Amino acid sequence: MESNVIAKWETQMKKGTLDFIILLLLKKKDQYGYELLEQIKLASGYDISEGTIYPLLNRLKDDRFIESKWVEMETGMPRKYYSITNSGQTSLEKMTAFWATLSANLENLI
Amino acid sequence: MNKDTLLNDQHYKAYMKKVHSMINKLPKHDQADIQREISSHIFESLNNYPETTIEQALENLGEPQTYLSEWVVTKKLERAVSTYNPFRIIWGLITGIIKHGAYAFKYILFGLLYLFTFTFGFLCIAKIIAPSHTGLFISSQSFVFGFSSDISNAHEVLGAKFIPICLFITILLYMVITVLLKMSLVKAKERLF
Repeated sequence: MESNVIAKWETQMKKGTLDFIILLLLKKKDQYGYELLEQIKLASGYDISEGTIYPLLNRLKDDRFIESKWVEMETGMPRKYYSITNSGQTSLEKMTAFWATLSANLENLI
Repeated sequence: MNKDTLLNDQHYKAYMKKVHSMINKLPKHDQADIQREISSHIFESLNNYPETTIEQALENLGEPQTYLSEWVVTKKLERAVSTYNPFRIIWGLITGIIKHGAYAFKYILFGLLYLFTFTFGFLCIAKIIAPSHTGLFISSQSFVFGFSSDISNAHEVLGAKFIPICLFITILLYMVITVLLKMSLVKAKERLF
């Protein structure tokens, strides 16, 4: 019972922070889907199902936080590179400020 | 792994067939974009970890049904709702009911609300076909709004205003329900991951 509650809480935490993590990673450099997925795993330790990243990226695109472009590769298989938009940058600054306040407050509690 | 080896692999072909069956109701441009991105993902995953087999790469990506169904239905309905085209909305809801079990109940509910709305539209046609049996009938014990076969003890009170009133109700309900559907899609998108 308790483990169920914790699992739900962890899922909610992941859901709540994934957008933030993606924007932070894209702020560093433009990345294609698979690369971004690897970076998310590396940065957060989240074990996310690979396919679920695409609906998420699509939503961020619809919200105009990110944009994408296809880049032809020498291998013959093109990559779709995602980059953060100006609107995404502005939102990310607000998210970062909120996160800083939240983590400082929680740090005091813990 | 080279591109041609992947494109000719049987597991890959079977997987992409499943992907196609999930997205075939989307516009051609979106279909091509999604297929291209999934292919690119599989290719990158195989090249990043050369010891991985195609079957393992496909397993890691997940069943297309699990990550595409909700996305596709939401995308289709979102487009339909933005046009306010009733045929596209109804078709989107039907796709949602058939292809997306988790939200089927919600889409059935919206379908019933639209059906209720269109009833007022049908009443306008009924008023033209059978004017004396369609309207707001009031008798000493009861009242009927709509079509009534027995009007012997009742009198109709709206007359020529019946059609504009029904049209107004139809449009008002249609707009309200469509805005509600739009809001529910925004929430569905937030839960996409």
